[in-house]
Amino acid sequence: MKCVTEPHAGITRRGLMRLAGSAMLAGVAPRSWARAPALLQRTVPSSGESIPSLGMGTWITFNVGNSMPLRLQRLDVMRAFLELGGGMIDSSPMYGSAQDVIGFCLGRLEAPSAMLSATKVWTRGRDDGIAQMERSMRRWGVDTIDVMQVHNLVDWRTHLDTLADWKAAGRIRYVGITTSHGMRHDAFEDIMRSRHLDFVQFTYNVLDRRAEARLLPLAADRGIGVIVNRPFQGGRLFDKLAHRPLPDFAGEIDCETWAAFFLKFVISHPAVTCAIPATSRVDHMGENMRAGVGRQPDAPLRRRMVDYVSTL
Amino acid sequence: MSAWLDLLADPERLLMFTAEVYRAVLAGYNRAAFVVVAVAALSGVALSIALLRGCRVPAAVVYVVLAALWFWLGGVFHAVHFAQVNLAAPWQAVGALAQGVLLSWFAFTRGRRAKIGGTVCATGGLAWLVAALLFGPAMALAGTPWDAVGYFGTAPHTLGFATGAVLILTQRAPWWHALPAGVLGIVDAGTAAMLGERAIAVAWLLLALTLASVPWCRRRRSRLPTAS
Repeated sequence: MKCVTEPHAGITRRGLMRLAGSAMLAGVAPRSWARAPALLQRTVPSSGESIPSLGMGTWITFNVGNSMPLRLQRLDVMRAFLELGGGMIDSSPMYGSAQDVIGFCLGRLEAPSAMLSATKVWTRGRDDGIAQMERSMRRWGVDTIDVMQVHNLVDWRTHLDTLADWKAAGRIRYVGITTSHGMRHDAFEDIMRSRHLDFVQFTYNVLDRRAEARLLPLAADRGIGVIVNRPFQGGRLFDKLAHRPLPDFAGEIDCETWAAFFLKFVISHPAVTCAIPATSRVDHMGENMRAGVGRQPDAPLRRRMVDYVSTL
Repeated sequence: MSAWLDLLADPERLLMFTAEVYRAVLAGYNRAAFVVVAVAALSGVALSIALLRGCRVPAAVVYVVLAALWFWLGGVFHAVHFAQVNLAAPWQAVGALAQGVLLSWFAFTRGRRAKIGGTVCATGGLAWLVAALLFGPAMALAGTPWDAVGYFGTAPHTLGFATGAVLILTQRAPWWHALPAGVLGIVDAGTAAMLGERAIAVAWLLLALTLASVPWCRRRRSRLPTAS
C-alpha cells in the first residue's frame, strides 16, 4: 500500500516501516512492538505472501463521522491493532465515514509493512465503480489498495473485469468478492468456479458454519484466500456464551477469553487466511489479537469446540 | 426473498452506526447550529404562550416557520451532518424538504384563512407542543449529555412532535400534507428503538395514537346535542 499523504514527502508508509524494522533490529524500536508476540501467519494462496491471520473490520465501529473524540478513540484502537501485529484492515464505501476515519488514523500512525489495505466496490456500472474505487483511495489516503473486493456481488461481472485490468496495471494487488450472513452462497460458488480470484470473503464462525459445506473446501481446491467476516456472529456469540465458563480444554489451546476461543476456531481452519473482527475498544482489540498467538486447535479439538458450544 | 427475510431478522444490519455515534453527530450539529436551535426554541415558547393565553394564531405564520424548520432539517441536519454516518440520510433529507414544500403550500393557500388553537383538540395539541419543547431538556436531565439531545424543532423527532402538535391544533388540518413527516417519523422511531433510545420511540408511538384519535374526537363532538 503506497501512501499519498505521508508526513515525509517521497517516503511511503511501507518504506517508513522498513526503516522502523531496521530500527527494531538495532534495538531502538518502540518497546510495545518489540514485546508483541509473533502472530500466526497465513499464506495467500495466489501469491505465496505471508500475512497475519488476524485483521480488523470497520463496519459500524469506524463509522464515527467527524467527531474528534470518537476519531481519537479509533486511532487508539488502530494503533493497538498495528502494534500487536495485525494485518488486514477491511472497509467499504458502504460503511459511511469508516474509510475517512481509517485515512485519519493512518495519517497519524506509522503502519507496519504487514498491513494490508482492503476495501470494496459497491455500486453499479463500470464508470461509477472506477470513480468509487478512486474515491476510496483518496479517503484512505493511499494511491494503491492491496485487496479490492466486489461488495455483496453487486454488478460483479462488470467490476471483476475492471479489477483484472487494475491488477494488471498494479493499482491493486489482489481481487476478491464478498458476501455475509450466509447469503447467496450458490452464486458465490459459481463465481469462485468460473473466475480467477485471489480472495473471497464470507461469514464463518462456531455458530454459523454454513461455509464449511462448500465454500471453504472450494476455496482450498481453487487456491483462493479466505477472509472471514462476522467471526463473533455480530457479537451474538458473546451475548449467548460470555456468561458461561470456558471449557476445560481451552487451556490446551492457550485460550483465556471467549474472544480468543471464537477466533482460534476460525483461523485454525486450514482454508482460512484471516479473520477480520471489528471492535471500537482497545481492550477488546488486545483480547482479539491474543487469538493469533499460542497453540491453535487441530481438527479433533475444533470438533470439541463445536460440540461444547452446541451444548450451551 | 430469503435475503430480505435474513435482513429483517437481523436488525443489526439495518443500522450502520451506534447510539454513541448518533449522539456525537447531534452534538456536532447542535454546536454548529446553536443559533437556529435557540431561535426555534424561542418560537416554540412564543407559540405555546400565545396558545396558553387563549390567542388564535394565524396558521400561515406557524406553517411558514414549520416549513422553514423542515427545510433546515433536510438541508443541514440530514444532508450535512447525519449523512456523515448514514447512507440513507440523503433520502431522509429529500423527505424533509418535501415536507417543507407541502407545509409552505398549505401556508399560502388554505392556511391563509385557518387559525391555530381553539379547536376541540386544543388541549392535546398544546400538550404535544409543550412536550416537543421539553423533550430535549428532559432527556438531558435523564442523563444524556446536554449537547447530544435534540432540541425543539431542529432534530427529527422534536420537529415531528411539533408538527404533530400543530396538526392537532389546526382547524381543517391538512392531514395528507404531513405524509412525509409520517414516513420520516416511522423511520426515526424504528432507528431510535434499535439504538435503544426508548423514550423517542415511545413518544412517536404516543403521538401517532394521539393523531389517530383526533378524527374520532371530532366525530364524537359533532354528535353531542347542542344547547337550545
